[in-house]
Amino acid sequence: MVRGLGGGVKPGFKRVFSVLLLIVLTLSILLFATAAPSERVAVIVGFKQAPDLQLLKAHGGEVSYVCKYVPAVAVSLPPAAVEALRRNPNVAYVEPDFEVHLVPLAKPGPPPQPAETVPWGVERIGAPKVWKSYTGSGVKVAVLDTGIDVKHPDLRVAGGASFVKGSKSYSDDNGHGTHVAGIIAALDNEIGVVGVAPDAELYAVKVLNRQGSGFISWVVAGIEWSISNEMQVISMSLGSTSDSTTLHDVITLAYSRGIVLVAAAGNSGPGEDTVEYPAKYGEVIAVGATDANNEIASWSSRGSELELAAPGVSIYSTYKGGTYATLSGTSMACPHVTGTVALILQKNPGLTPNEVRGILRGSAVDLGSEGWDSTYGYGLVNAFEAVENTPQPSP
Amino acid sequence: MGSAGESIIVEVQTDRDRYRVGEPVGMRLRVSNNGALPVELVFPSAQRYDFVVFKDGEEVWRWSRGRVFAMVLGVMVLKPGEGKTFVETWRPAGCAPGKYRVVGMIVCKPAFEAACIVEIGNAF
Repeated sequence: MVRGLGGGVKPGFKRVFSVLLLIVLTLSILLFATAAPSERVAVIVGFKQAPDLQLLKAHGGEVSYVCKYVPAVAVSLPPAAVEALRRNPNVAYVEPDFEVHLVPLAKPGPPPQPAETVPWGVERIGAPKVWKSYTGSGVKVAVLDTGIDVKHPDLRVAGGASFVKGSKSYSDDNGHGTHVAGIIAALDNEIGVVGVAPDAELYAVKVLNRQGSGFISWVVAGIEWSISNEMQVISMSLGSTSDSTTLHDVITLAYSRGIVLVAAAGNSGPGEDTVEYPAKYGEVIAVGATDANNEIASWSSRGSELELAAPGVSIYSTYKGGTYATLSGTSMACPHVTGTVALILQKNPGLTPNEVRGILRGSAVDLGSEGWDSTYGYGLVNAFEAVENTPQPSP
Repeated sequence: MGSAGESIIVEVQTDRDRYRVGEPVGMRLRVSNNGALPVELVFPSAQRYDFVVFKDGEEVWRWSRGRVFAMVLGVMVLKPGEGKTFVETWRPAGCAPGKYRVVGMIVCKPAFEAACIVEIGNAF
């Protein structure tokens, strides 16, 4: 279970070794090729047959190195000698001896980016099969969380706001929000990971502090911001055991304005009736967490409000500081559904939240007992089938 | 790794034993590893602790009420002898005089808790 920071990183040993080798080679060349006075040039003379050192000396050359395997000699010469040697019938070529420069040693810091991988969860829900048609482009997604690392090379943040007391910026001091954002929309580039909807527009709505906690009033403010700024999807990888009339009212309003709301079901399982708020509200899609065997996590909350399941065990994604990490929780399951909603809405932006939910429920892979059950809801979210079942907008 | 059950000690204190009605109650919760091996505590969310106040067996205040937490699993590793302290303030508004039981909890699975009693009155 549980975390490992910086997962999937190659050791820097190979890179350090090749840099050291380069330094050794360069130093050897520099030692042999003594600094030429201004009237001399450093060249390499290639011979047609055996190197003729007498010839070079006769032209005033100072030999610095005789190659072992090729008939060439590094030598410094008076400039006039270069042309004369080129015309010699035994000389194949005369070329400048290029200076090599030390390659700076890599500074210690975040590990080298791995070539892009598709995390198991993104693969499992069939998202890559959708990308030839839809990538979530143009769909506005509000991530209500700890903020997002705006400098992360694998993410593009379109905007946001902070409602955390004492924190003006919506950058991520915790890492959780960045991880969630990466599951939704990590960029499809050469590096790192790729999200369910790589072209979705991410908005960092900071409602959780550095410790990963917040007040319900901050979440209310975040939802109001999302309404004012015309978000299409609100993703909430957060939970509370407290029911709040204000929170429920603002969620009802967002829903009536056509916003799809997705939340983590909670990690209070396996007991029944353990779904937390806001996932527990009828307007919100409550998402439980499955593992790589498509089995529900023991800690995933269960209850009558559970709607869908999605990958949430050992999920690799972006993390603060431009890095990557592996985390587990219904926090990780929720954004798999959020990304799927973004794919659906790119195909048909006019769908109501009810219609989107109908598509998600109908296309989910039924797990657990037949039909809906309180452990898996309607089943494992299936992005490919969901988009297939999404009708084109009516003309 | 050491066994949490055998090694973990939890203590809760308030800054005073007696308070006048309306005065804030400072609470301090400490969790420490009293064993010879490191102990790993596993948490179901970003929440690490809670404080709950009871009067006559009924809950009158809970620190986590009205708060939300990131739904991500986490760990706290305590080396032998290492501890962590959490401090919060209960600001009771218009509560009746009498004895109150303050419970501090570390909300790992399974949870650890400790309790102490405070008296709130008019005369102190």
